Amino acid sequence: MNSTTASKALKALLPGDFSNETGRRAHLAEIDASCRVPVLFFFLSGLLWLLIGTLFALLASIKLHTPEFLAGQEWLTFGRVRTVHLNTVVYGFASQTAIAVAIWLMCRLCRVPLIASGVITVANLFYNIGLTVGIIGIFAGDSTGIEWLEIPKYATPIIFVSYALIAVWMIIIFRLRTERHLYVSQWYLLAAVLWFPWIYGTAQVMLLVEPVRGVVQAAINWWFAHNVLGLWFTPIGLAAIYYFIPKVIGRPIHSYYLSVLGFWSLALFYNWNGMHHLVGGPLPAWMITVSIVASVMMLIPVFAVAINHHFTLVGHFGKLKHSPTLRFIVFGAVSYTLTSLQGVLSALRSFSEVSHFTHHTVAHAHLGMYAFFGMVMFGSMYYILPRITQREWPSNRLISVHFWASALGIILYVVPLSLAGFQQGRLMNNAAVKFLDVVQFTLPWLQLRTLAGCLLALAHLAFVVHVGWLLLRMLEPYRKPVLNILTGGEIPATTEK
Amino acid sequence: MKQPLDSHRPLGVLDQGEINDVTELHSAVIREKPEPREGFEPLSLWIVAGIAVLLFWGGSYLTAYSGRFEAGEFSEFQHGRPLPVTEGPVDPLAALKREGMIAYNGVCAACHNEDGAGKTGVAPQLVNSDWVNAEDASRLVRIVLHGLTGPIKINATTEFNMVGAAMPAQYDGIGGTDAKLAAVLTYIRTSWGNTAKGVTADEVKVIRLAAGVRTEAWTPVELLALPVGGGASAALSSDQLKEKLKALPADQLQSLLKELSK
Amino acid sequence: MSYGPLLFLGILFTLASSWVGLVLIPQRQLGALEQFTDTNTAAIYPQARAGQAQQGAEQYRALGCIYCHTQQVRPEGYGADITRGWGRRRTVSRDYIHDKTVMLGTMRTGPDLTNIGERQSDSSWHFKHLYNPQITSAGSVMPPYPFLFEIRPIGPFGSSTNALSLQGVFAPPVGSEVVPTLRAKQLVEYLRSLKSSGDLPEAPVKKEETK
Repeated sequence: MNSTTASKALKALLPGDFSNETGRRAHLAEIDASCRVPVLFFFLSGLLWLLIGTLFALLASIKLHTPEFLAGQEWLTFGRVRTVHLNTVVYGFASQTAIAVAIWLMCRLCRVPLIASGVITVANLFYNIGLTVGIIGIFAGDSTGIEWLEIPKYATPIIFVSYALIAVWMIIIFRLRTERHLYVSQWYLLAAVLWFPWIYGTAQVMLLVEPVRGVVQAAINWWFAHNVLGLWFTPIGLAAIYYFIPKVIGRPIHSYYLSVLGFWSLALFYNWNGMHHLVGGPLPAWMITVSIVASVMMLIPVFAVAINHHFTLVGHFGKLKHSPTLRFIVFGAVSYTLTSLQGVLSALRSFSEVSHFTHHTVAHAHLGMYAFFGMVMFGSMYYILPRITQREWPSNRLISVHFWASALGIILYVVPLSLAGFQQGRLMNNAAVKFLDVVQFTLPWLQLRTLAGCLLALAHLAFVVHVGWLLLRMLEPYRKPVLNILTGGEIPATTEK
Repeated sequence: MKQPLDSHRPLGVLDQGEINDVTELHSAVIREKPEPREGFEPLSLWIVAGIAVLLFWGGSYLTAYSGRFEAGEFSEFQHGRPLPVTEGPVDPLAALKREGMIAYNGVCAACHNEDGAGKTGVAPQLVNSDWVNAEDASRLVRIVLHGLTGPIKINATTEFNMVGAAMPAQYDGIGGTDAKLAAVLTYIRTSWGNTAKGVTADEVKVIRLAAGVRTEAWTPVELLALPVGGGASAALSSDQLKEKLKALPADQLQSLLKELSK
Repeated sequence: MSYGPLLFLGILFTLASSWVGLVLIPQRQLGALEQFTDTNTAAIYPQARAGQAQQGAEQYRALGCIYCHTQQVRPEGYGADITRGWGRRRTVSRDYIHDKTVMLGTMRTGPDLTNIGERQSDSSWHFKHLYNPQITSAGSVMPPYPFLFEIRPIGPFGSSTNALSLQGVFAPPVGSEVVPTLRAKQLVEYLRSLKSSGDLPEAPVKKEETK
């Protein structure tokens, strides 16, 4: 069945008249409803993993300045707690909410309801089983010892199959699209779902199933780990930003040409970045140099995206006050620019000499994963959840608590730790300073980091309570919202041409 | 305001949205702004120029620092990183101390601490110690060559007991050359407030050869019994040295001679 | 852009480029590196690890030591890796050909361990350090690993030769002793096996001017 006949068939099935705005709105509502169960499942399991990840983040943070804390239990030793934190937030929270947002966006932009959504729900189930087995494995000491790929090899295939299933489903949706024009978010989404199984599959086969010899492991490790960020989280995060900024403020994206430039330069350069994690390491000079050049070339997509978003938004900053979605998304978009610039800087040999091996890198990772990606996901959830549950957010105050605690928390995390990490690197590069003095220097900054972590934990609790409250409302009969906190309740005067 | 639309529905049942009035139900969707579109602002020339500059830089950097794309070239400078040029005459003592510091921090500092203060129950202090600051460094040379065991008295007053392990022989650990050992001892004897004389590689060599193939660690008692002034060149005449060498097994003699001829 | 196949092919080809460039070509260049034999001295480097040390590498991996300790030395003049005495030369690809899992690490909360076997060959130091790092390195933020040790009553024939000699606040209750478990012994054997100071043509150890 080719896509035209398929879309005709779908159109015939769907209610509504596409010739007017109301008909198109009803169609959107239909699509939202078709996504409800799988998207909700992915969001909720993502949030559960977020809470678990936050708990272990706090434990790891405390352990780093108070080493005796819970040191007697083998499964709670720092090396495992930290690993569990990374894998729960990356594969539990970030990836699962990314999948949910990607499915919802893909269906909406293709104007196709999610077909056989039960398959996605089953994929979610398998994904969570695989991840749970993997996390227990890490606690038991079965971590693979490969950064960003610690989940033991008996658990990764389950996760991989879920990913592959979701990717196939997304491609089917894409093929069935009834909207001929491909919006920029769709490019990124399609790229992400094709790229991720490829890098994940390569890493699993060449590092876990049939490990390659010597430092090629390190090369593949960082090719994979950097691409998880660059080819999985970043495209989905950018897809969400590209969708929600024009959506919420109701004006077109500034420039299609900048979108094209940003997308293809990211596709071309980002996947060559990985070796900048090994500057000074035991790899041939050319590999490092290639990655440094590719990292600097990332200035092109970063500026293209930043300019595009800024000029779309300019003149509408007042809307940040009323729309929680826009507030989180814009915070994330600004952080994307900042973390990318920091990344370019850190890739340079002269800067890396100091910042490599220090807390500077840790701060950078959180700027990217949390301040950019996490915040964009939160913003997306604020938009998507009311639509798929057909209920409004119950509390304005909880949204404020969530936003300010996470925004201030991550600023308090990233800024001091970036600076302290740089100073740590300077001290470490001065052989006249005793190593233990370098350790002592970092202590107050690590304590401050724990404090920042508490703020983030507060934000997450507020959000989870709020989502729970929203879900409780599903048990009540539907009521038209009394107070429309999202956009002030106006029905748009303009209609899409 | 309207009444709840499906108030006939019993409480506690999950609402699956089976309501006829779609417009009312999907008020969130209805009030949305239209789906996003793209504007068509042309690219600024500045951006094009910026990209051109970046690509040019990238090409140049790639050509200059890729070590001819060879697997065995690890330095981005194809012929090795240019060493920093030192202005003015090089201070030989400073150079020796730097070498010594590298080896000391790598090997000795684990027990004696990076500032030479030692660690209780692990290793005695090197700062302000009569053993370290003695005019004659031969005992120190021997300690590093073969190790040390047993209680040791420092400054004639402080009794130090090494608990558990003794100090192992560290000659190979610090680099396995006389020059390295001399550098380490010079560093120790002239740092952290210590003001003793430096040690030369030749002095070390004499003592090392004189000691022959000793494998067991020294005890402080044994060391104190040796005559001051080295007990090496002083204690062994050249004849005695020859005798000692003759007594060695052939292969060890070979390696010793090889060492001597350098 | 509304042409799906073009998008699809572009997405595939961009990733294929770095898959070839950073996965396949490195595998061809470095995947079959062999030990190096010095023709003058017949010295072979690097040497494979003994059994117990190999098992220790598994402990190192399982406990997550990699998150605070690197195993890579940067070249002289780049950072202070050499000046701090962490190695005699930079590390290169050939140093790692025997590692089952290559654990280069990316964080130096603690010092580099590339050459720890040469820098600290004394097992009893390592045992004390693992039992409680404060014994040997006061002020360290390394966690203690008491679960790698057994505290048991001293037997009728006196304390074990393996027992840790601990003093003061670190000492076990009177009449008992702290002995390393098999896992602790494996881990320490692994640490003692970490040496990368062999002379290689691509990374020569700096020669002394005078001998």
